[in-house]
Amino acid sequence: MSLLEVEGTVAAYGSIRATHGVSFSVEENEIIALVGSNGAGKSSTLKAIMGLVRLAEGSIRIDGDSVSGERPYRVVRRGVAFSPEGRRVFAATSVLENLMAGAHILPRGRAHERLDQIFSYFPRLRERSHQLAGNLSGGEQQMLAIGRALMSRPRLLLLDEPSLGLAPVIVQRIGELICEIQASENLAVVLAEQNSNWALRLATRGLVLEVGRIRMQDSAGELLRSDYVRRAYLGM
Amino acid sequence: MLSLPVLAQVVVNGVNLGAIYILMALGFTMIFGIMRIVNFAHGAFAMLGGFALYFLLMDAHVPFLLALPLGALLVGAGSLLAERFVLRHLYHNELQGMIATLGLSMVMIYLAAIVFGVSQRSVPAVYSEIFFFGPLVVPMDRLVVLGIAAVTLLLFFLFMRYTKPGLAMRVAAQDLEVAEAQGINAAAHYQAAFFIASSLAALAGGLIGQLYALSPFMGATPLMKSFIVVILGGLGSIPGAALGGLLLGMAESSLTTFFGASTAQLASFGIVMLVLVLRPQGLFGHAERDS
Ligand SMILES: Nc1ncnc2c1ncn2[C@@H]1O[C@H](COP(=O)(O)OP(=O)(O)OP(=O)(O)O)[C@@H](O)[C@H]1O
Ligand SMILES: [Mg+2]
Repeated sequence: MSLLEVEGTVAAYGSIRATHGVSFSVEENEIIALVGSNGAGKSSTLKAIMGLVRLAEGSIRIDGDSVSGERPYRVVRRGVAFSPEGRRVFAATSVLENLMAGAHILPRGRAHERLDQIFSYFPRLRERSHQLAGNLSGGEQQMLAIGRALMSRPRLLLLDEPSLGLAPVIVQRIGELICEIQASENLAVVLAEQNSNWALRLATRGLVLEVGRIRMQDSAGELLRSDYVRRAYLGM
Repeated sequence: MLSLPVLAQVVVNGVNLGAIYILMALGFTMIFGIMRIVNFAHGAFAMLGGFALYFLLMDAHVPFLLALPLGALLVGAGSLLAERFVLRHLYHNELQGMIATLGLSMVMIYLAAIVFGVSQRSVPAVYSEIFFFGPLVVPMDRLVVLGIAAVTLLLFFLFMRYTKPGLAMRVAAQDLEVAEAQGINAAAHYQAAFFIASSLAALAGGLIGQLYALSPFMGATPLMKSFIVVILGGLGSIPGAALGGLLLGMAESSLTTFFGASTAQLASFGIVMLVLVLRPQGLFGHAERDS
């Protein structure tokens, strides 16, 4: 039994179908890259897992239990956390309160313990803890969005485009942090990215999504070597 | 005419009015800020608060300081019926929300007219003492209003600022989807926010019923004042509601004292139009962002 099993999911916005039957599974303690170009359905797939878009067809299971059609707040309680595309920090709220909002499902005492741990991963956030999140730089906001997701002590972390719009050195730093945190917390990570090269280098396995369907899935190393991926996604 | 005692009196009255306006406007701005509904029924909940206080005092003989919060909480609990059957279906739908709450308000007002009758009653004065602080004349009931409003505002502020549900409401107001993805049960927090907002309106209604008179139509003026306050302070802004309420109270009090009540009403609407033209986001609000 896998940590996450996604089977034939069709994510729908009203009557518009964003994906057309996506199936994959995620095991504990692995990083999976979900790559694909604009509009391929990466975000829609992550949001369908979270319960943030309607699931028109298919099923989603966590530890074998169905969470299909569950409200997001219930999915979070099953150990899933989500860092959305474009960061979407609560701009008019302090860094500290953004993190505490991420710990909504934890009792206060455990939330404070967790806060210390998150600050040790992201010391910048500790320095800025009383600033408004909207006043942080793009890289800091991305760290805050990841830190906020980690606050709930998830077993499965869904990251949507964490490299978007950031300078290469910041992207590299965020990659190191993702690996470090993943290893120390035995976390499973799904990394949805247009920056395929970067994502596949961090990941153990990869999925290639094209117009709402999975085109290929293999170990990250194989995908990086594949002619098709190199031509279509790595620009080589 | 501009003597120190007169000025002091203007301040006392202004702060008093302001306190009631703030109680009204906080709930109004909260419902808009969090659920994106311009709640036209807010004044009707204030009216119900007035009647709840009246019956608790006159028929149940509950002591005033208990009857006031009890009446407010009862109305708040009753408002959850309106939440369940009307408002819940309209969240984040500004236009339909306005029309439906306008209808809800009419239903509540005319039901109240049928049940309670249209003859004006008043909540009897509970406190008749008058204090003289130097040249200042302060009736005890005004002091009580002020005390109750101050305690309520403080509790409200502490709740929003330092509790987990308060934080959840604030972040849900900023980005509902992302708030839900943090494990926040938005529907439950909406219910709680609506309960708090209606209770605050009912509390204000009780105080208004004590200072003025009680009638099924008494909610119209406080609703209007809530509009003015949130336009001054910026719709959805809680500090804006506090400052806007105080500002409106002081302005009305001084204009009434020096130019009469009609001029005061005229001027407060004039100021609102001026603010809308020159600074549409309100004196303390931020410009709306597209999202
Ligand atoms: N809110 C929405 N309403 C309607 N259609 C949507 C909505 N969001 C996405 N779509 C559609 O769903 C499809 C998949 O979009 P999605 O955002 O999941 O792609 P993506 O792989 O994340 O793309 P990107 O790399 O640009 O973020 C697209 O055709 C898109 O137009
Ligand atoms: Mg996307």
